[in-house]
Amino acid sequence: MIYLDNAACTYPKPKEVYERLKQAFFIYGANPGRSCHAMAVKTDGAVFDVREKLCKMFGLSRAENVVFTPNTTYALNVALNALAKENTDIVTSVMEHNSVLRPLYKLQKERNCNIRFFTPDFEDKNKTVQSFENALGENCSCVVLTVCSNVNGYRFPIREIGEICKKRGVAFVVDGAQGAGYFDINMQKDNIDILCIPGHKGLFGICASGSLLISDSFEKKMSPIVYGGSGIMSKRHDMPDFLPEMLEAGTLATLPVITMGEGIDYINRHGIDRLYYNACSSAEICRQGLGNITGVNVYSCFGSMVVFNVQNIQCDTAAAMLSDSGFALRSGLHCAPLAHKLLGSYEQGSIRASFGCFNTPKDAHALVRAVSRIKNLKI
Amino acid sequence: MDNFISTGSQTYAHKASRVLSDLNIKHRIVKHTDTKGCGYGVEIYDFPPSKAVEILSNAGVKILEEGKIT
Repeated sequence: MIYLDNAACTYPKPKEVYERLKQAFFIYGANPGRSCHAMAVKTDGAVFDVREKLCKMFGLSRAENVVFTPNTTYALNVALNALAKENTDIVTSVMEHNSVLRPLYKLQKERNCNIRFFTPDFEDKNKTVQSFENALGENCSCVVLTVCSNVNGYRFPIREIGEICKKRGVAFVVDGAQGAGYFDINMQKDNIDILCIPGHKGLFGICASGSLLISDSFEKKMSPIVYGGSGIMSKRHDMPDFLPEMLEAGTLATLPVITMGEGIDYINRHGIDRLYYNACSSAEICRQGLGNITGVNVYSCFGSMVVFNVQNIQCDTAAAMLSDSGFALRSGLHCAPLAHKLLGSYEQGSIRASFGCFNTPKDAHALVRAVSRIKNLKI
Repeated sequence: MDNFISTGSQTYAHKASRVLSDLNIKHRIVKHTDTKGCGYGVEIYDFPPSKAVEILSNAGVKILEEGKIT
């Protein structure tokens, strides 16, 4: 199999992650933050190590402001629930994933929030910033934005947008699902107030790990959306009023968290830029190759993503045919309907090949050949 | 237990533990049920607890004075 669905979940993971997972099964078997026997303390210590690693990687100053969540969606829900005020505007882009859009639609209904969308200019960063500024009115309580589109890999000028938010005193929430572990994100330098990230994508953890990273000045603005055991202050009716336990009701996903930590070590050893370059260079070969095939429509796409359709073959059918040829791709709307509207693929969806650092140019050439073959088949 | 410093949470207990380990101050993480319910903290050995509280506070460890058992 040639795996090209890394935007959904990276695969394979570095071998060190598998080794760490195998080891962790046995030595970190206890529930962290509940008991105080030796294994429980050791397990909790391993979890704390990952908080520190995330802190360092994303330019956060305090490990306790790293909150573990089951995924990015959960983290975004917590952040938006805490920051979106009634009868205010929330600014976002048309490239967002449903992990942003659906919580916003809910806030629109329940808090009368007004969602103001802006459209990026794929070729001109300044025009994207201008488009954002045009959408930012006087009544905005929160800006939420992806660092990188999960559909076409477009990277938003986060730092510039963060700077505007900072000047205007507007909360800036960033969806780092397609950025964390792929390229440098620094909460301080990029003026990010809250960063929501997954463990199972660029950070090479296994599924069911994510994190909510909260800047110091936003610590007191947070509130829980789920209530339950925290292992501490058991006589209180409320959750603890400090991080991270305030937002970590219930047992943590210890093993996914620990694998995320091992993934971070791998990235630090090999260099984040080098790993991303590997993914992007194979993707570029694929983009060019597919672009040369008559009857294949390659949409505007960047970085490690290649988005395309094969003329006269429905995208899911084409992806299934390519699956039969050994390719793992994702077809459809990729949970980002408005991005497809902008690209012109809203009705039919598209096929996405998302490259990872372990893919090679050979994989890109193989996909180009396979697409060329199915294009000539009669359905 | 005048050598117990309540940090309130397991996360702060580990943060405290990292700071104390860096300074070679003997300690261990413990859990204690006090008036607030369950809470974590560190027991300090061969080092003045008041001095440890100062070090930990400066390092950003949340110390629950109320939880300190004297």
